[in-house]
Amino acid sequence: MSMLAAGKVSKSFGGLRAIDGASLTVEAGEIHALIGPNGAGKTTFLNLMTRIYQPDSGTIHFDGHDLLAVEPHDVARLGLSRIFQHVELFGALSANDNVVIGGHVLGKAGLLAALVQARSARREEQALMQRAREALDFVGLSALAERSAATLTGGQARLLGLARALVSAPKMILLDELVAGLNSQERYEATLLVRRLRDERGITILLIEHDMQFVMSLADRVSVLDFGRIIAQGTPDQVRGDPAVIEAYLGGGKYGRA
Amino acid sequence: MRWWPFLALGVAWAVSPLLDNYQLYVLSLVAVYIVFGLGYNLLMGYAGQFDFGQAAFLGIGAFSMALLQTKAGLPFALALPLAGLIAVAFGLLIGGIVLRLEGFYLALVTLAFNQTVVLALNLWKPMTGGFQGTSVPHPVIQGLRDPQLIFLVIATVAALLVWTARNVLASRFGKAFLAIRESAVAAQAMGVHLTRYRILAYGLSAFYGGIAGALLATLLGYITPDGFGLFETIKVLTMIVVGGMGSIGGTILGATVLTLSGELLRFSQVFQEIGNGALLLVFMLLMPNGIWGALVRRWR
Repeated sequence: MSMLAAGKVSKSFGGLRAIDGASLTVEAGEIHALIGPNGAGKTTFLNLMTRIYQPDSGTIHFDGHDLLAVEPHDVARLGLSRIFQHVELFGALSANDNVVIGGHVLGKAGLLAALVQARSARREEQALMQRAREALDFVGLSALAERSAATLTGGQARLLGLARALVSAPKMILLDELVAGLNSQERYEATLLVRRLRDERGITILLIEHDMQFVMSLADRVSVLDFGRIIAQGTPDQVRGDPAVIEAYLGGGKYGRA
Repeated sequence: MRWWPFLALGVAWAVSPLLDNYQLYVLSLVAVYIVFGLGYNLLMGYAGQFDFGQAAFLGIGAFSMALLQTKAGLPFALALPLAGLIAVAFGLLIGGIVLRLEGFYLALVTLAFNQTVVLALNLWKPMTGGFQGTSVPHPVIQGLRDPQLIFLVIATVAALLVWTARNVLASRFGKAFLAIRESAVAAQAMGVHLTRYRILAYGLSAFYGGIAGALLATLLGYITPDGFGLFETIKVLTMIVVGGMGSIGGTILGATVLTLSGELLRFSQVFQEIGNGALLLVFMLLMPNGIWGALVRRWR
């Protein structure tokens, strides 16, 4: 069964058709990459998948649920988690607190239990602290747990975003430019991390990237978005040789785009 | 050290027989403003809502406390929590109304809310006594001096509320408030129900404001609607800015420092207002995290 299925999704902003009838299926356990030139609509597509934007038309299903019937804050509860292109960390808070908030959906204790710190609430908090430590350890940031998120380097911030997304044990994570701004060593380590997410934790991955080398070495399947349309889909090798993809990236044909 | 508010309360009980009436009054006032400041800091410092009408909850709590006892004949112990809950009802209402407002607009609407409440209290003469105000009964126990009893009641309630504030702010609820303040879009993606948590922050903060108002009314013995206008909001704003936004320790510190300095300047409200304005300006510019924030940084 497919984990994420978007059918003929469209979204316009004013006169601009950002997403134009795009369909995409991500199978469970797959590492799927969504690539495309600047402004192709990749992040818009991702924001549609997490209910930040409401599509004008089309269908989106996640793990058997009709995602369009779900409120934005309930997306995480279904097991769909994400990192942001602009990271969106909680800057004034410690790295550890950032990850703890990532586990918000795991909390069951009510307000009254929290007010008097009932034993159930405390036990739940301790369990979440433990999970947060594990998630920080997984991305290699344990040593920085008490540092405020705003003081982290670009690479560390992205890894913290990843820890925050995985602490709730999601079924699927959407990665919006995980390796943007990372050096080649960090990129290599990020590749290993994403693979471990899938192999060790069974998390399905949809990643949005500019970096072709990163995508081609990691993805099982690749979809190419251009002007809001999916113009190619297949294995990395199939996509690499596709004339439409070459044209979208390098320009040419009668439109002569540079 | 989860129980430190009650340790402090134990000290308060132990020293209260040694204090004269004026000292008891000033310490009671400090405790009232700690409660008021905590509620405001929860909303402003933690949840990041720029609210400028907090004194409305103080006024609602104060007049509820007076009227529930004098007009409805309820005993003190029942009127106090009810006064808090009446403030909560208003808090949830205003929280729902301003849900989609931010920054400047939020500040203006909440300020208007405050002025409306003051105006309504002034106009509702048969109940509130209008601008002349109304007197507030206080609890009586044989063998205890009035000021001492009032101090012990206020200190006990304050310790309890400091403790619950500490608990809730350390819990996932407090973390969710912080998350909304730092990045609403990320908080939502982590599953934080923005609407619910924003309204919850208003409700909690209104409860603290209402209880603080009820305690203040009991302490003063006489209240007028004009005592709950913008000046009170600026006062509590100064407290949390001087002490430290987004911190319980900072709230306690700010409420203490500002209440004591206010007592030194009590001969003139004009001097208090100028003093508060100057402090606000200096701290916003030079110490945005307040005294507490500076202390914490030094210790680390």
